[in-house]
Amino acid sequence: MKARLDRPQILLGLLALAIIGAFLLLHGNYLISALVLAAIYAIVITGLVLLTGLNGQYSLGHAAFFGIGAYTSALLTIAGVPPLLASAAAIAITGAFGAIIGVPLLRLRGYYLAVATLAFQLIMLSVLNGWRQVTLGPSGMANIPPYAIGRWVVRGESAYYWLTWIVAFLCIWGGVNLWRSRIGQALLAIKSDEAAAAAMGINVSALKVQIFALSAALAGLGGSLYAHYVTFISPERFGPIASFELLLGALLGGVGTPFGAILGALLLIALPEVVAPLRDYKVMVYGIVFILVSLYLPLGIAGLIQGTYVRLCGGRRPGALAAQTGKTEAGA
Amino acid sequence: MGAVGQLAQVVVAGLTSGSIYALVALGFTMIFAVSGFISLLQGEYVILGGLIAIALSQWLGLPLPVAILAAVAGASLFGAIFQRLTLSPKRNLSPDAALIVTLGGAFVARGTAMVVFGKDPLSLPSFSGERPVAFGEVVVATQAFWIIGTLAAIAAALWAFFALTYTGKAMQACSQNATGARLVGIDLNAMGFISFVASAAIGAIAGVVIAPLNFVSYDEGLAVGIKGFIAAVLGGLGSYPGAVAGGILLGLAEGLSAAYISSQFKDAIAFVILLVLLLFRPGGLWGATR
Repeated sequence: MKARLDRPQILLGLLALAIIGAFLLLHGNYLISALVLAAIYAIVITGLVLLTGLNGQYSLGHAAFFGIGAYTSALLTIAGVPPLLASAAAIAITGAFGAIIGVPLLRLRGYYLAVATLAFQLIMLSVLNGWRQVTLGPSGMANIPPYAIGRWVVRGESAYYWLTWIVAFLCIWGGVNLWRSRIGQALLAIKSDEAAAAAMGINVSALKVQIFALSAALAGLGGSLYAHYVTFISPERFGPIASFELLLGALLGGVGTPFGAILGALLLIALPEVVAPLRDYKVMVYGIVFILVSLYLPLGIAGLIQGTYVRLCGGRRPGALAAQTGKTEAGA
Repeated sequence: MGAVGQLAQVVVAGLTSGSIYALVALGFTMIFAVSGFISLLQGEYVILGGLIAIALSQWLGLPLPVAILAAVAGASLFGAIFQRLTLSPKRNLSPDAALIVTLGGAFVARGTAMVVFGKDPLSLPSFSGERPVAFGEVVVATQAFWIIGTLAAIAAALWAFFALTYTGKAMQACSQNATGARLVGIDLNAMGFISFVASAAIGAIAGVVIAPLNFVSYDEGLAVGIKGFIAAVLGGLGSYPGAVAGGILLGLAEGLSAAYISSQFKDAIAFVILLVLLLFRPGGLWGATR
């Protein structure tokens, strides 16, 4: 029987092998720390991919949720709360924020959510900067304790590599399963035609709020890990440019499959190295790349790879991955 | 100063910033009414307009009127090129996709402004001198008259454009019924282009008149744009009188809450207004359609 590379189980297996392989290959190299950041981004971008790819919504303010997660975790652990509980709190708070914003907006057309998330992003930035009593303002918070699971304190790049990539892997795995589940199919139905989905008995607004809250919660989880890994956070890292980069990562990696989040996160890490000689032109170049991807590569690089694979190997379209992407190919 | 005088002072400040919000909201409204999407570039035009005018008049020493005209032309040119290169070739973009493309455009504008004009906030001298006018105990900067007057002039010009010109009527036909407009021979793509560039010009004008009162910084475009969007939603997205009323109302609400509640969370109040509005009156206070 011919092995099918398009099965998500096989892709998940390859991903696991790649995570282990990259560690063995780069052990002790400075690239390991870049890969830790990539894993954290992958967690956040998975949320964006699920929101956009499954449900056709856009968040232009995910760095705000990332920041709320980071600050929640930092504040709680500095106050003595175990990191595992702090992460749970970060997930709960960002999820709640997502639901609060989502409820009024998700009955409306998608672009209201997009603009409101941007507004939320700007507000959160001014709150993080302005609420000095709690966030210490623009100077940021230092000396955030390392992550710990029970008695095991996570120290060193290698330990963080395993921690973040295992979490990222679980998020992707969960994303793949969600995609194939009844709920995933219902979300895709909403994406392609809201009225028809409602007519078939799908609770449209509840599902839209839930996927947005989940997406926000994943950003909160990423933010929580980020705070402990870098041990210093300041508001400028959670501003509109960061949100823009996260969305760029999602679109560039590909919103047609959770695996796109991995590609997007790796590209986000690699891009600054590529455009480093451009220095001040970076924002401009990111803007141009963003426009080109959103116009001409709606399924991102993952979509490109899938298309090439189908063309080379023939056969059915990659079942669990592309055929269910709904309108993405025609629309965004 | 008495309580009445203080209130009057706050109202004047609210009207001034409200006029700017109203101008930005008019830009959102125009594109939304004609083409059905939200362009996130509106705030960037304000910044580009302000920065170009400052650079030309302060750095190159050009006379102010020339610098202003060049600023409006420059921002409009940016809008025109952007529309021609991205939105125009892809005519059947969904509203969401078009919004995402304009987000990319906003960062191109921000990056360009940073490279060309630098990262320092810049300012312009007032058009009619720095000596404020006093009405009893209320003191009004001369620039405030320019700002409120500009809004009045633009509103009147837009009214005349829609009521008296063929293009204006064709544009209104597009927003009422795009298919019908196409059937009677109106070029939708041309109307989309005109509205896009006109909204850029209005935004740039807002940027030029506010530059003497506020410092202009390359990275404020999105924040200014969001305020304009909230104003547009307040008045009912797609309604021109609504955009003007929404802008003034938002300016007053912000000014009053900053003076009497908390200035620290002034921006948050605008956002709360947006969320409450979308929850209860998504069609705007006057309940326009869509």
